[in-house]
Amino acid sequence: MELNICKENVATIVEIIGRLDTITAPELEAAVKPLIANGLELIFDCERLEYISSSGLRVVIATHKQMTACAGRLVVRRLNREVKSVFDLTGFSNILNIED
Amino acid sequence: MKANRKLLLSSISTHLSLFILAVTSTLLIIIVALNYRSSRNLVEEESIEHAQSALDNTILRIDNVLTSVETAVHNISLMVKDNIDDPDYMYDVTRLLLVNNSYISGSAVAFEPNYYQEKGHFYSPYSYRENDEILSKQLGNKDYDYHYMDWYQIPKLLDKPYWSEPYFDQGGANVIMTTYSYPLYDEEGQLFAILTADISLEWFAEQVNSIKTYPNSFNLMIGRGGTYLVHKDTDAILNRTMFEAAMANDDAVIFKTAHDMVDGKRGMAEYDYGEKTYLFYAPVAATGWSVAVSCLHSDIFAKVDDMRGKVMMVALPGLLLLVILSYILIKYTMRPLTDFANSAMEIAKGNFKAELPKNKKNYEMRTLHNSFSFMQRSLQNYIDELQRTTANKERIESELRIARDIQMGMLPKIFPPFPKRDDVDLYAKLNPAKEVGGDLYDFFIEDNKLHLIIGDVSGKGVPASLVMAVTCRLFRTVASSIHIPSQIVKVLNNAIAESNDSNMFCTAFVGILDLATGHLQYCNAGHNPPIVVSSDGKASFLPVKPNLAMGLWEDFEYQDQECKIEKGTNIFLYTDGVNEAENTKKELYGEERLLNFLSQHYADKPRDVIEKLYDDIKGHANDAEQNDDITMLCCTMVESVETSEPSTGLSKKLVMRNNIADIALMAEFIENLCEENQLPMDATFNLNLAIEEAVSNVMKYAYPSNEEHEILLTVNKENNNIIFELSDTGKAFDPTKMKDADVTLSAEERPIGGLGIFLIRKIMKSVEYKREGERNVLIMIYELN
Repeated sequence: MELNICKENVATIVEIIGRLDTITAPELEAAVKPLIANGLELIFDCERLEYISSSGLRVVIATHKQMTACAGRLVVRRLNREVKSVFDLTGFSNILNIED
Repeated sequence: MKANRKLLLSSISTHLSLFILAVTSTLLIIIVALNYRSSRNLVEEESIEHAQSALDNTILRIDNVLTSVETAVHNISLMVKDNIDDPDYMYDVTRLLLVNNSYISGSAVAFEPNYYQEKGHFYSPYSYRENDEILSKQLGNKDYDYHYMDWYQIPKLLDKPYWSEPYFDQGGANVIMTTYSYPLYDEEGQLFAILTADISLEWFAEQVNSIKTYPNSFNLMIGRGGTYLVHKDTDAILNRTMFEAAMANDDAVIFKTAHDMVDGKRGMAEYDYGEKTYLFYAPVAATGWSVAVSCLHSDIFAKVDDMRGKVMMVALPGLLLLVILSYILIKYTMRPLTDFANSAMEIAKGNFKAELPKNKKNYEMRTLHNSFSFMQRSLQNYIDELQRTTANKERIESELRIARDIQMGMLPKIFPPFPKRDDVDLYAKLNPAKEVGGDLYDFFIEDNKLHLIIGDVSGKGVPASLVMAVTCRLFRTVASSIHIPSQIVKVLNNAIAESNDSNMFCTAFVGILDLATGHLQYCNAGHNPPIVVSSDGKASFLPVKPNLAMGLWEDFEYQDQECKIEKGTNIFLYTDGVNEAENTKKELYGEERLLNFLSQHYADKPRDVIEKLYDDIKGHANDAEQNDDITMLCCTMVESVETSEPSTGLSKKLVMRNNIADIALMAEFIENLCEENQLPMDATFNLNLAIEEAVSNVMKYAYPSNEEHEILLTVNKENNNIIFELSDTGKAFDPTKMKDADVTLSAEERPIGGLGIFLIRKIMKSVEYKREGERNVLIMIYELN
């Protein structure tokens, strides 16, 4: 997995590339941690996210909770079909702010 | 306070004291009761006798007086007749009567009307007492017409002497009196006068009341008609009868008594008049009166009751004193016991030097003291000894545990040992009888040749394990440079035989199997011949030359043998712990049973053969202690997958460690699998997801941290189903028991986690968990559409 982090106005965009699984989820968690307090908006750009497992989902939901807690917002955008289906399956689509 | 009371109640002193109290008071009560009863009877009899005799005495006295009066009157009557011609002499006669008989209070000679012409109609000279003087007067006149009085009329009519009923003598003596009337007759038998003697009723009352039987007893006398003559209630005298009293009280007993008394009977009546009362009665024969004594029951028995009270007054404090004294005495005697109990408690707490009570006055206490001090010493010695032994034992045990770990560390025990090779399958198991053992096995592949050794050092335990360790290490070193079994054995033999003062030896089988050709070259050093099980189920011993066990004879020339092993043939190596496993009846497992078992399981993989055989041996032993190390090794040359698998199915396996880094291996494995089977993108994605969830669950939950273990994933395809079997040797963990995540909850309510099993269930057609021996097995079936 690779992460590209850049700032765009008030938002911080994290582009997640490759597999977000049991091995790589802790990496994302560590990378996102300092960004939570800083930005008002955090965007997970998932255009090139190929795979996500429950470990990855846990990081996403945890981040969502933390952002909401400090009056921020997490947006997950550009999910591919397979990854989107996992979000649908687990009901995360209803909870998270998902954009195309 | 409450506890103290409980203690007091349960103490021996209290029990014994209470027991003594119970016994003595029972005895006392019995004695007092018996005594009281007999006293009462005695007193009752005596009191009746006493009352009656008093009554009799009184009556006798009355009778005597009455008789004396009668006699006096009779004598005087003669004087009257002799001097009949001298009317005035009659005063002297009456006076004489009073002088002669002091009981008589008055006397008269009452003449018939006009007996003496000169004296007129009434003539009755009368003498009476007044202030110790005897005075006389003429009694009859118009106001006192004696001719019609009872005392005159009745004897006149009856023609015989008569005691009158008591009466108030109005105009005479003015007292209540009774009069004895004696009729006097002349020569012709004609009545001419009545001679009388009065006795004051007071005198009778005095006599009757002189009977003072008991403090509250009273006496009474009734006349012929039941009229009270003497009574404690003076108003009743002459005014009321006993019958009236009986009727007033409606008392049949009194009524009958009154009748009996009037009839002149004597006897005793018992009636309840608010209080039990006895009435003793007897007649005064002369007058027809009846005298009675009334005694209260309580009066009669007052003395007995009084005595009982006194006895109790002495007995009760006596009993109390007895109990107190016996309690103190027993408590004093028992005190050492309490002290001993305290000491025993001290000793029980671990203080073996606890002081013992010093009181040794009694023989029993002395004996107890001796036993206690003996026990103290024995305990002290025993505990000291035990501590030493335990410390030693623990040290040895811990050293043995370490030794066992070292020894086991020498044996290859990760199976399958060659995960990258699919042409050979091998499994081995060593179970020492003690912490450390003398059995050994080892194997490795070099130049596509499988080098094998199995051995058994004579004896067991630490000495055997040392030789085993040396042999094991040497085999690795030697076999990797010399590839001829007999030469390997020879080097090992010389190494062990050299400086073998304790004459240890080691039987062994060494083989080298060329995995390409199936050529097996081997050398047997006095070991059990291996068993070869062909792919059609025939099990037979490999023909071996015995040679000689290693370590016995330096420079012994060992001979090689060789044979060809077909693919699918199981080679089974073992030590004598297998065929000589004993059950409790000392029956051996036996070579025949071993051959049969292997023959039946010819198609099983080496792991299954050995684990099942091990279970079978355990079943045979049936709780008998394992007395020799059990070692088994089984290997098979497998036909390679590519050539044997039909192209429609697949069978693959992946071995991972419990390290999340190996998730990457798994992903690659699934990737390849799907590619080979040309599965669509989303199926690949989903399988990847489900298997990762399952594997990461196992890694998280089935193993404690820091221990490396293997997780095995096998995949089989049947028709339209892909069957994934994930197995591990971790602690029992059933992921299907985990709760599915609730996907309807809001983000805030969502717990982090719980998604894994939910995703597996969504993706797989079925998920099933089972525990097989020491393994967790999770079977997931994916349906291809």
